[in-house]
Amino acid sequence: MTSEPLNTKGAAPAKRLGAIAIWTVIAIGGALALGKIALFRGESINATWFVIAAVCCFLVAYRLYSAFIAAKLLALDDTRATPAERLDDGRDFVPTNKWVLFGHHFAAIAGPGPLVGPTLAAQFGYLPGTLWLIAGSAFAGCVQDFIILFCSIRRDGKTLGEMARDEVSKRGGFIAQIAVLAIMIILLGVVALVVVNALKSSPWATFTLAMTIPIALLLGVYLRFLRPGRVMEASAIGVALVLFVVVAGQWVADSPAWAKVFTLSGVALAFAIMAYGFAASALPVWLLLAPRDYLSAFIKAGAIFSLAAGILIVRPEVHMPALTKFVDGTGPVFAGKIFPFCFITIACGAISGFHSLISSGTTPKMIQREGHARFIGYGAMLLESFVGVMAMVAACAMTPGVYFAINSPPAIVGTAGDAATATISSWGYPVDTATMTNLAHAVGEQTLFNRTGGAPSLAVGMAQIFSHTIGGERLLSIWYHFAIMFEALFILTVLDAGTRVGRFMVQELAGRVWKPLGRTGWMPGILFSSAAIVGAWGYFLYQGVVDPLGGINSLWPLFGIANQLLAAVALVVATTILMKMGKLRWIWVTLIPTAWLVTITMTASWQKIFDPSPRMGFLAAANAMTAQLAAGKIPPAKIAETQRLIFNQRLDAVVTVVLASMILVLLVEALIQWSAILSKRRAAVLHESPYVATRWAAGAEGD
Amino acid sequence: MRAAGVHRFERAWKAIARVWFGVREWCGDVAYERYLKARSRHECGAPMLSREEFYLEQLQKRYSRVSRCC
Repeated sequence: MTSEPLNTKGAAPAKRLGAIAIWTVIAIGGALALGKIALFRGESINATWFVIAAVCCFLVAYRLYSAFIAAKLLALDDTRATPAERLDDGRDFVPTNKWVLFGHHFAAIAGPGPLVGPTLAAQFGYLPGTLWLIAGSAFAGCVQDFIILFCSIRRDGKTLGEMARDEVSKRGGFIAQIAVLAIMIILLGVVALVVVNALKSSPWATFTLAMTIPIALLLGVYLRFLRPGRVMEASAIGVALVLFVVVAGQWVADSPAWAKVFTLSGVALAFAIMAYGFAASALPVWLLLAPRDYLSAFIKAGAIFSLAAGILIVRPEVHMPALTKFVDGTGPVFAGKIFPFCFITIACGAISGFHSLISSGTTPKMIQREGHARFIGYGAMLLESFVGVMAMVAACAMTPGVYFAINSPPAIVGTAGDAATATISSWGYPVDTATMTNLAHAVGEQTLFNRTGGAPSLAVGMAQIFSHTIGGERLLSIWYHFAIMFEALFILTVLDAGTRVGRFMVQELAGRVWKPLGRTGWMPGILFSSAAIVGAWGYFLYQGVVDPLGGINSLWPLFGIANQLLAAVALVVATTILMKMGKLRWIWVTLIPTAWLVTITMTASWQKIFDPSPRMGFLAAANAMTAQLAAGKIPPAKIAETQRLIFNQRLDAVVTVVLASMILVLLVEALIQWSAILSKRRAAVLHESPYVATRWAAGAEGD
Repeated sequence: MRAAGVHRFERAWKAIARVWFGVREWCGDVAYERYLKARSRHECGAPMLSREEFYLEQLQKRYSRVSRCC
C-alpha cells in the first residue's frame, strides 16, 4: 500500500514515540506561528512567522489529511498497474519518476494566479489572505487536485469533461466544456491586463519583454533545425539572452530616442498583445510558443526558488496590518467585502478549478504508481500555496501607503501624485510624494502611481527582498525589471498556450456548424478560430484598459468566479465518483468544499450583478452612467466612450449571470444523480478501467 | 579512511548525476531516448520516428490541450 500508515502500530515503540514527538512539535510550531500572525497587532511582524506557519501547517496537512484521503477515501493501490505502465508507448503514456513528474505537474499548475491574487487581496490586510491560502489549499485545493488526479488515473487519463459526461451526466460534461472555454477567455483577458498595467509607460520593461520574442524565435529555429529536441542547451542560451536584455533595457530607457519607441500607452500595448496572441496561436508551435514555454519554465523555477531563498535570508518585516479598514468593502484595489471577495480574489493558491484540467491531462498518463498521486496531486498544490504565501509576504513587506499608492486606480485617488498621496494618507496609511518619486526612480520607472494589477507592487516587493540579498540599492532597478520580466514572461506563456487551446475548442464547436472549420490543419479555419478566440479575450482586455477604475475591479472578480465555478464542477465530479465508490461516510471531504465554493461564487455573483453601489454592482454602474448621460453631465466628447462603458458593464452582468446559472444547473443535475444513486433507483456504475496487476516489483518501477 | 572518502565522493557524484538526469527529464531533454526505449520494449507496427519528427509530434500534442495553468 502506498500511503504512509496513519499510525505506527507496527513500528518499534521508541521509533513510534520519536515520530509522534516530531509531529507534535511541528503541529505545535504551526499553531504557535498561526496564533502569532493572527493575534499580532503591533507595528510590524517578521516574515519568518509566515514561513513557519505555512510550512508546519502544510507538513501536518500532508502527513495526516492527505494520508487519510489516500487510505480511507481512495484506497490507493500500488499493486494496480497505472495507465503509464499498461499503455507505455514513450509518447503519450510515459512512466515517469515521481520527483520529475512532481516538477512537471508543479510547473504546469503554477501560473501568475498565486502571485497576483494574494497581492490584490493584501488590501484586506495580511491575515485573511494568508489564512485562506493555508486552509483553502489543505482542505479544498489540494483535495480537488489529488482526487481528480486519482479519478483520471483510474480512467486511463480521461479529461475532466469526459469524466463529468460519463459519471455525472451528458449535460454535466457539456457544462464542464463551456466552463473551460468561459474561464479561458476571461482568464486570458485579465492576465493580459496585468501585463499591460505592468508595461504601461515603462520603456525598460516593454523592451525586455518585446526582446523575449526574437529570443524565442531564435531558440525555435535552433531546436527545430540545428539541434532538434536539445532543450537544456537551448534553454541555457535563452536564459542567458533574457538576463542580458533585462540589463540592456536600462540602456534603452536611458536613451531618449529609444525610450520613446518603447513607451507605449495601455491601448497600444493591448493591441500589441492581441497581435502576439494571434501569431502564437496561428504560427507553427515549434517556432514561438514552445521555445517561450521552455524559457518561462526555467525562469519561473529560478525566480520562485530565489524568492523563497530571499525571504528566508532577509526575513523582511511585514508592515501591512493584519486587517485593514477595507474589510468593509470600500477598498481601492477592488470593491467588495472580505466575504466573499477574499475567497474569490485568491483562487489559485487556495483552490483553482483550472488545476483539475492538468490533473486530468498529462499527469495521469505519466504516473508510475497510484500511490504517487498523493505526493504529486496533494503535494504540488501545497507548494503552489506556499508560493502564494510568499507573494503575500512580498506585497505586505512594503509600507501600506506605498502598496496602496501603487495599486489604487486613478478614478479613486487621482492621477496627480500629491492628490493621491493625500487621499491615501487620509485613510490612515501615510505616504508622501517624495517617497513614491524616489522609489520609482530607484526601480528605474517614471512613475509607480496607478499601477493596478498586482504585478508592479509584487515586483517592488520582490526587488526589495532580492536587493537586500544581492546588490543592495544599486541593483534595485535591475531586480525590479527582472521580477516584471518574470511575471510578464510566464503570463504571456499562459496567454499563448491558452489562446492555442481556446482555438482548438472554437474549432471543435465551429466544426459542428461547418465541418471544414473543425479541421485543425486548414489555414482559413486556423485564422478564423484564432481571430475568434483572440477577439473574445481581447475584448475583455480592451474593456479593462479603458475602464477608469482600472479594469481589475471588474475583471479579476469575474475571473475568480469563473475559476471557482470550474472547481465546483471538479468537486461535483469527485463527489459523484466517491458516492459511486460507496464512500458515503467520508463524502464530506469533497462535499464541504463544494458547498463553500457554491456559497462564495453565488454570493459574489449576486453582489457583482445587483449591488446598488456603482463601484460594486455592474448594473448599478451602468445605471449611474445612464443617469449621468440623461442629465447631460457627460461632455459631448465623452458620450461615445460612456456608452461603451455602459455596454461593458451590462455585458459583465450577463457573463456573471451565465456563470452563476451554470453552477446552478450543474448542482441540480448532480443532486438528481446523487438522489438516484442513494435511493438505489440508479445503479452506481463506475467507468473505471479494469484492474490489471502491476508487473513491477515494489520500488523497481520502469526506469 | 581513504576508501571511505572515495566512497563518499562516489555517492555524492552519483547523487549529482541523478539530479542532473532528473532536470533533463523534467525539461524534455531525454524524451526521445525514452521513446526509443519504449519502442524496444513494445514492438509495434508504426514506423520509427526520427528525433526531429518525434520532437514536432510531442509539441503538437502538448500544446493542443491545457498545458499551462493560471
